[in-house]
Amino acid sequence: MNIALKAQKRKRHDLQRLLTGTVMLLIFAGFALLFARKPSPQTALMALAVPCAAGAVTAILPRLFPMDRLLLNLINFLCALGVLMQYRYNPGRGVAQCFNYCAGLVAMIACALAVRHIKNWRLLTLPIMAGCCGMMALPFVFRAANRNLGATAWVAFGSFRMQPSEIVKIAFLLVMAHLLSRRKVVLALGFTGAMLGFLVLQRDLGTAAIYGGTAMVLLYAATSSVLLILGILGAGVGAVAVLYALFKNTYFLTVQNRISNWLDPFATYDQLGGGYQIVQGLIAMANGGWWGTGLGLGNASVIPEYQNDFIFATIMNEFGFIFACAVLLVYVLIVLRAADIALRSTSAFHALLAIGSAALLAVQTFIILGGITKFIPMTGVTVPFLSYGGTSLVSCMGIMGLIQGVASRNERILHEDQRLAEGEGGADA
Amino acid sequence: MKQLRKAIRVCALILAVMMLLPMGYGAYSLIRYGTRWRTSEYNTYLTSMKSGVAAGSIYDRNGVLLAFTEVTAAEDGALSAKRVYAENANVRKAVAHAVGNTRGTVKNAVESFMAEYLYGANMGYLERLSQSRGGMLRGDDVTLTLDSGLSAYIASVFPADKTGAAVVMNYRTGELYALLSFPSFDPAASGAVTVSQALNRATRWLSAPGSTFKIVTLSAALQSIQGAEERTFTCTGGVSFGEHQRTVTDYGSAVHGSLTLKRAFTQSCNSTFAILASEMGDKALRRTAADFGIGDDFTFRDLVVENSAFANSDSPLLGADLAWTGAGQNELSLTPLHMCMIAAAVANDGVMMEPRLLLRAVGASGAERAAFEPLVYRTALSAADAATVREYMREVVKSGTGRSAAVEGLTVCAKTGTAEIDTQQKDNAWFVGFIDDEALPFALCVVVQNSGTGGSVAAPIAQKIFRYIGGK
Repeated sequence: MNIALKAQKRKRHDLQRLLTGTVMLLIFAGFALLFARKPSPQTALMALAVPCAAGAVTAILPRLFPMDRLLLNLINFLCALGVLMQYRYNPGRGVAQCFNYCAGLVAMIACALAVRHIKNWRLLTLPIMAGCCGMMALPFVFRAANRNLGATAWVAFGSFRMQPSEIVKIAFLLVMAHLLSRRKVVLALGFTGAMLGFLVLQRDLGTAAIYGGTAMVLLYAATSSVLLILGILGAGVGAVAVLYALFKNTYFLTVQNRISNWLDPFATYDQLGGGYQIVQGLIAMANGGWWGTGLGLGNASVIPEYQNDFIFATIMNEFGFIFACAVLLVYVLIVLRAADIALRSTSAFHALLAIGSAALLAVQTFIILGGITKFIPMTGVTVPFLSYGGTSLVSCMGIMGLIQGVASRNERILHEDQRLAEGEGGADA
Repeated sequence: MKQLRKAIRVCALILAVMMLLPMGYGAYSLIRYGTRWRTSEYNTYLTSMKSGVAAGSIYDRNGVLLAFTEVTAAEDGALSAKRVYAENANVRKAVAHAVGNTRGTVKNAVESFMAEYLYGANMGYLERLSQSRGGMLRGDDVTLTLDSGLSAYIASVFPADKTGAAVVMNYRTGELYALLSFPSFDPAASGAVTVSQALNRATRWLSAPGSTFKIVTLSAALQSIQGAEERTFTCTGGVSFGEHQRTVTDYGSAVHGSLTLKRAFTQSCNSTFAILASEMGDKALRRTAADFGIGDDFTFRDLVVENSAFANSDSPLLGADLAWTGAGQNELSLTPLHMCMIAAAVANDGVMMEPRLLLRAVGASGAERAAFEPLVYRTALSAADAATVREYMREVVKSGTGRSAAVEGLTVCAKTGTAEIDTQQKDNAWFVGFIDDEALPFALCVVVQNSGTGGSVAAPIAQKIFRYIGGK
């Protein structure tokens, strides 16, 4: 490798170190503030441990195998912010979220290694597809775990609870990328249809929208056909119309309810399942204003699910709208970086895998942020990396692992090419 | 691969833009509705924000104290804050709906809607620190555009047993000088306040404005019917419309005979305005009404006003429905404040000013947090048409239904209205008018519910108010 290239790489690494340092400082300052308000040994420990862990992960992981440091820094920032916000309202949850992060890290490494090393996805695709369908059918078996919930999306083993649709996201991306890279559009459409069918039956419309949106992006990327997308959209609208006609008074009552909550949440404030949550979210946002009430001074915990779906309202409340915009830009940066990785990859499968993963995270972020700011009707999905919960974090980190795997593979191929080029150069000399 | 890369670039762009949309919308709503959400009755944060802060004082435009916080120290040194309202009971009751109280009896009154200032939400960190040494934090002092003397006078001339509202505003600047609702209550008294007393009829009570709406119909006719001013109309006491031959009748079945547009306006002839409305059609009348702000989502900075409506739906009105709308009845619903804004727009050469309540807010350390500036809300009609309507309204006071509002030495212009409400025994008396004088740029609206005609009940009250303003 020539010297100029090496210097350039070192400079980039210095920038990454600066970024890591900034993230560590920010999170340390957050915990220090919480400590100053209410000193406790646990908070002091968190103030040291969380930034150090973030720093250690960015320092050590890329040495094990090449991966994208920028993405690692960005998701570390989001996860650490998530831990901070959880800890601020409920220390127990903050600590638990740290363990969730560790589980997520394992998922990320596993996914990255799988993408880096597995060459023959062709043999795996069919079993994975079957596994997806099996997983998605599971919540219907565990009736007890889903009692009193809006959706039938949960599976429980004792005290351990999970949403299969979260984990299936990773497999879904792999299958779709593989099928579409081999131009099996019809099969891909059929698989998407099956997944959407399961999700609609589970009454988990937000997740259905995530799967549908991601599939749409992948289909466009693979075929470059606007007509196909318009056709699918048309078919989708038709399907919804037929379903509406069939289940007008049963299934769609919930949907209508959500739409009226969206149009005027203040009007349905007092009703059961009404606009209470959205109104309190908006009020939390307004209380925060541009600059926030300050960490530890807000009261976003009046919002139901403030730690999950409404974690962004919690951030807007205490950190302010401007900071929340900056957090959103971090998400945008992740998506753009993933697209960049997709562009650098040498195979259609890996390119589609990276852009598909980016699309899934983007659509999920859009759906929940749109719901919170009343831009679109509210459908309860988690905020990637920020929301409390193991399954969600493992799934998002796993998806990040897919992107990292593609980045890692790009790097390896680049190295091999360089070695070849240098080898040839050596032979010439 | 080349095609794939191109498609990936397109996808990345679309995804990035899509993700930015919710926050863009969030910023828009925060600017537009932020204050409303923050001061909403559902906001539990306000309560915690208020504790530990002594709310700032509220003054009227002449420096009369309308509300202040009395901080007392108990024997153990604990501080407690008590809100005290204006000394004069008449003033207290006259400004009760505009100012409100800390219990939030009146929705969106100054006490709750301007909590941001009163409880010092914009206080800087250093200011907070330096202040907290003295015990309790102090919020900002707020000076309102209201004139408490004028308000108390209006309360004294309004019929004691009637419900209604009265609004006085400066039509050049939009400053509200009086914003009254009847019946009122005493914020200093501990007794229960009835729902009727708590309702601010000036801003939250929507009703048909009767013939005062003919200002809008006239403006629409000037815009869309050529030569309307030169025409003669024949009034036989009523006109029938549509298949079912429903009739628009004149008040008290009066027969005005042959008359010009100007005379029809000054005599408030329903038949003529019904003909005009059906001639110009739903579209033209609706458009002019929209120009006057009917159907707008009002998000004024200083106060919450219920949105007015032209009709219950967007489908075009036909026949008698349209004709009655032209005469100010049917499904029209406006607030007295909005009707005052409409008269004010005519007085102000067609430019409607945003109604304002806040003159200035000053922090305890002397830092200015907000200062009044006139804001144009919208252009309602052309200056030329405004001049014509003004001339017609002048004639109403000289020789028409508003004669009892005339004050010697003042150029009073006005329009009366008598709104017929099916469920009431008597009609709602409406009066909107203004003084056409650069030195006294005031517009007002008086409504007395369930009382009689605008000319006989509301106009004499307006006359007294005009006299008070003109110092006569």
